[in-house]
Amino acid sequence: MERILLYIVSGETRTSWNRAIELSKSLSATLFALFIVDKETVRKVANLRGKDEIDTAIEIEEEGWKYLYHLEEKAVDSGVKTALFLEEGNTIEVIRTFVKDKEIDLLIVGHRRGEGIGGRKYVRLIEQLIEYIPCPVLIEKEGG
Amino acid sequence: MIEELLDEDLILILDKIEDKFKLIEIMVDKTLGKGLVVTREPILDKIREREELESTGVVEGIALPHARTEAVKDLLLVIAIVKEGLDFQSLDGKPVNIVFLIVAPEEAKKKYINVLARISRMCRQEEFRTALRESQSPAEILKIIKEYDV
Repeated sequence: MERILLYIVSGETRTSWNRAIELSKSLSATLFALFIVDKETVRKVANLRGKDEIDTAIEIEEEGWKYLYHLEEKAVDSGVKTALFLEEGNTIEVIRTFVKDKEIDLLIVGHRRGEGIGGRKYVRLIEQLIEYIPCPVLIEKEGG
Repeated sequence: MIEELLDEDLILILDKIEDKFKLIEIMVDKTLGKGLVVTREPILDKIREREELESTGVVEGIALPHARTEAVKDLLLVIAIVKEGLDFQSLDGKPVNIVFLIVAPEEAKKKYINVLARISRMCRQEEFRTALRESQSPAEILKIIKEYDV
């Protein structure tokens, strides 16, 4: 296994970050980290905050880069080779294309305990990842 | 945020350079008169170590060599525009012609990550990259940075 992809959702998914770093280190694999600015999410967040969609997308993107660089710092401290990516679009489509183009061997996703619509949507997203992503998917339960 | 870290002395415009480590040396040397560098060699060693682990040549002709080290007193930012482009072992294999060197003390992790995030976000904008590539002077680059650093 040479290429591991960690899908970064937010800073609350550190258990999956640690798992991805541990696995990459033990397998001498390159860790690809991906944050996605999902257009639907941007629209919803902008509506919720009463803000402009462009400004909201900028905020989300910059936050995404911060997560990516935080992860990179942790990975580099462990001697793990990393590559950071930030993409825009539909989450499932972006991950599916990424996995195919970069010949990813394993996808790691953190699973947060969520309640309400947001929690159910996230569970649905994980189900779709399992169904549509052409590589093994490791779901790491966040927070023990 | 980015604009505050720069002045014209910290911006280089070069026609050509073939070695990325030579470029990084020149960029580090630009900071020596600023009173922020404790010692030069550990900075270069740290950057080389990091580049050996992973190339910081991202995509679309951009490279962001970066590291944290106690060899600096505060965050340093240097920009180089290399008109002909150079091989930075980028992820997309394209030559790099815009380089942001970012070096920060160990304890300045939050500021360091915020600056990296801001520059990365700015660099995803094609108009920003084009404006930098076409710029003719450090003053012009500072103006572009100011415009996009929001």
